[in-house]
Amino acid sequence: MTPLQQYLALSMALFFIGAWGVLARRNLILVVMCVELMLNAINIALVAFSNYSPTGAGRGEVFVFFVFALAAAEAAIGLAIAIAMYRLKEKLSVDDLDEMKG
Amino acid sequence: MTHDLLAIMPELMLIVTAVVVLLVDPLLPEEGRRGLSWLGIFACITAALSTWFARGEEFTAFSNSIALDKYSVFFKILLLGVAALAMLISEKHLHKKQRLLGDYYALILFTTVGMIVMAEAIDLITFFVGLELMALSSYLLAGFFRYEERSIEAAMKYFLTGAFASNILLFGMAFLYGLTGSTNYRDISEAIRLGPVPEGPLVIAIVLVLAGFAFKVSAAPFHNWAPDVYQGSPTPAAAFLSVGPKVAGFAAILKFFTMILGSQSEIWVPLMMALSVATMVVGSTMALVQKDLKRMLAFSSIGHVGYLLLAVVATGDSGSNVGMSAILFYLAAYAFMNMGAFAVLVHLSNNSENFRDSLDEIAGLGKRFPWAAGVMALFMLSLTGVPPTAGFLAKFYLFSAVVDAGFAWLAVVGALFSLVSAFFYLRVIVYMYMREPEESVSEKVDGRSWDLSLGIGLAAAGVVLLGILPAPVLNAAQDAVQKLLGN
Repeated sequence: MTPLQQYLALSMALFFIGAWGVLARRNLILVVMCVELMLNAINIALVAFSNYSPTGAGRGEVFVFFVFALAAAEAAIGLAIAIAMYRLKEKLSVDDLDEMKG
Repeated sequence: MTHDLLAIMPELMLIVTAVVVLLVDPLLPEEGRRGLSWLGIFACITAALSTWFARGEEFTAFSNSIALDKYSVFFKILLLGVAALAMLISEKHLHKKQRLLGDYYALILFTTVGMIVMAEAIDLITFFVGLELMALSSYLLAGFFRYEERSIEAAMKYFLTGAFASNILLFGMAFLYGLTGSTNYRDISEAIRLGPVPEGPLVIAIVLVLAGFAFKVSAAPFHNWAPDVYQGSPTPAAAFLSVGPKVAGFAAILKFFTMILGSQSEIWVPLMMALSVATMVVGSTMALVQKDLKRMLAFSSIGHVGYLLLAVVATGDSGSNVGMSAILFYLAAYAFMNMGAFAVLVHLSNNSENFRDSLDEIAGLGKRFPWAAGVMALFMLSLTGVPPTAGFLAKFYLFSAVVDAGFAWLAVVGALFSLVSAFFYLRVIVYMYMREPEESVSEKVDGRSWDLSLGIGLAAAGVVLLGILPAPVLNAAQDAVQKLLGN
């Protein structure tokens, strides 16, 4: 059986790739995809934990279903905001979020 | 089962009302839509009353997913009040700026349900669903003026940072589950306390959860989104977003760090202490240089988050509940004064031709809008912490709890930064009363709205009442936290 550590290593690797993408990518659609990648990395961790847990088996899988549902809602809202932005500015880059200086 | 449904009665009321608002909205004529805000306010009041009358019963529902106790009653009523106040101050502004849409009220109601679930959850899955319901609805509230570039920009920034933060928090929660094999707060707490739990992953989980929460309540160094989001959002939405999610966030932070991680305070206390000091420094110093009032209020709210985190540190280290009740009282006071300050900006924007929320525009406000200037001065004094306002007592209880916990130096640091903050709060008063209005000051238009005036009046009354008669709220706060630490 594959040890838990390998699943967690995969999960963490995907999570950091996603996080890097959110911070480094300029195109908003790709940023939203990277957010989804982070969520899926977490799903791998949850399922792996659930599989190896002596007491909490099953809970992780249930958690994953909720994460799925929320990921769908989040993608819908993120893309809706992206569409509203594109209609207004005709651009979809993170660099165009420069109306206000933070 | 019926028992479970009774437990979430207030939430059900809000959800049903929100759905009704969404369904009815397209059928109504433009004028008829103004009644929708009252439908929402009525739902909030009914939900608060039903919470109040059921306050004696303490139980858990949905197989230990939510706890109905004095703690959740306190936060439910506070959050419902914030939501009702937000709807009260919104109507005229939305009407003036854009075609009035009922969606706004539905979104406020959904956000409120999410916040309530966050406060009452004692299960990671339930908590996460509440958190996301709050977050997703509030991104849309920030972008509600979708024909204004700033509003859309605020929504996009809020969405990106918020989703990123949720993911970090969720990863931390996945680790907590993996380490303990449970998603229930009490079971996790037991498992961590009895051990053995591997140290490394536990530290990772704590750091991730702390960073996620720091993003959510805009603690430095994760605060960058807040000024942009508050500046770009519709002002009434900014009033709601600067209070609601923070109150709910602290409700959850207290539960996470005292219930679940109470036994691990030596790991998280130093981290949170650093976060708290950084947040106070950023909040107080950055607010000094802001020319935009909404940005100034955003940095001021970051400063207040710093003080609140200070009390969380005190609670975690001493295990006493004095700090916790001080936090609850502070949140109530903060809700009134911050919403009030934003509501005055809404009033000015409604009554001027082209109000841009800048500091220069409020010069001479004492002559042009004597009432608005008067209450604005009250809110500024309260945010500074001048007696006899709510802000003074809130800071007093908070800092004395921090001193009692043995962190006298931290309380001194906090008091110093609140002295710095006095400069930019009082500057608003100086501008309003001691400067002549500029030449280019925008034309006055008639934008009176009695529900906005009522909202500002209620916030002002809250600030004064909490300042001179704090006992009922303080007692409620003390009752609320009593059981939390025992478990």
